[in-house]
Amino acid sequence: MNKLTLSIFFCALGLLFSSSPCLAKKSPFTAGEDIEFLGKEDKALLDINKSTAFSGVLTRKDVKESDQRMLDVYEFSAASANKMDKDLCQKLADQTFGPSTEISLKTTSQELFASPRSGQICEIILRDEDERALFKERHFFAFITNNKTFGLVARFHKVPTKEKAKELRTFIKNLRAY
Amino acid sequence: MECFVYRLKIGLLFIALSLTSQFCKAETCVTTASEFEQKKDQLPKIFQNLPVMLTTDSWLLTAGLEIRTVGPKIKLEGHVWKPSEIYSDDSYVKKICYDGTNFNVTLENGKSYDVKIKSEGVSISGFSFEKSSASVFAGIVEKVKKAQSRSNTTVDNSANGTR
Repeated sequence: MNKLTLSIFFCALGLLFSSSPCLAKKSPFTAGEDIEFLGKEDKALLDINKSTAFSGVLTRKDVKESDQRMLDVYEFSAASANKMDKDLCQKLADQTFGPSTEISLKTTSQELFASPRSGQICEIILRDEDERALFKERHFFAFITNNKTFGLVARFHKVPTKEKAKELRTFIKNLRAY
Repeated sequence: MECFVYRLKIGLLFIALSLTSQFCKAETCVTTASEFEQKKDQLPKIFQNLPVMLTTDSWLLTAGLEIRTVGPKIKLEGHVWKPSEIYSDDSYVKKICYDGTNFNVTLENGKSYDVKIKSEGVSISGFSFEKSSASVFAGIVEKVKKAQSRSNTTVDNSANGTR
């Protein structure tokens, strides 16, 4: 085996066993806490059940509770708007989960709240009535920051308390796109 | 010359027939649990009785998939643990079509992908899954959950995929 073959072999081995955090991409956001982003690129199974706007998973590294730690990130490149409102929010939720009138996840509420960093943020809560559902509730947040339109989805194994939902909102309010 | 024309006609007829058979290949599509019950005989044997569990467990990938009914709907549940990702998800199915060789799955969110049918399982995105029992599936789910709670992220920081 010549040196070239050996170096290719060790390069491949190095890539395969390289420390996993190296695989994490740069997050599209800054936050007031430590976050990590795993992009969907080259992750063959990560986005298999996700709509086309899905771009990866954001992890809040200092949060212990799993429901609050990981959020799905969606980037809506085709959406051209400079202000979030309920109609746009519903349109983006439909792109993420399917048309609200046709899908199995049931919308239970929709609300707008203000953020100092990204203007109006919209939150839509969708509930899964399946008794064995992995996630009983999904909280979809849509907002515009730095002229980019994002959706974030928090998935709750159990219906969250008001306090937990409020904590999540506080995190979302502090996000800003690069 | 006549012989050539005759052969050409036969050739064209043959091509036309094979094209027709390709286009007329019956596709079986199901959108609901009741439709699945009605048409299950037209689907591959491994998919004729729901729930169906599919698993794989190697150093590169530990994963389990379940296809089951929820009232009138069909639902997919998946748990994946690869060196670079640990993730669980579930989705409702809008439509599943079988063309005699492969499935095409369309989810309610509009996502669509192909599932290749093999003799004892399937292949999705190049990964092979075998049909499994409920207990094997439950074991895989437990393994993925443990890996996730150890790593506490979508990225497997703990063991570089070591099982």
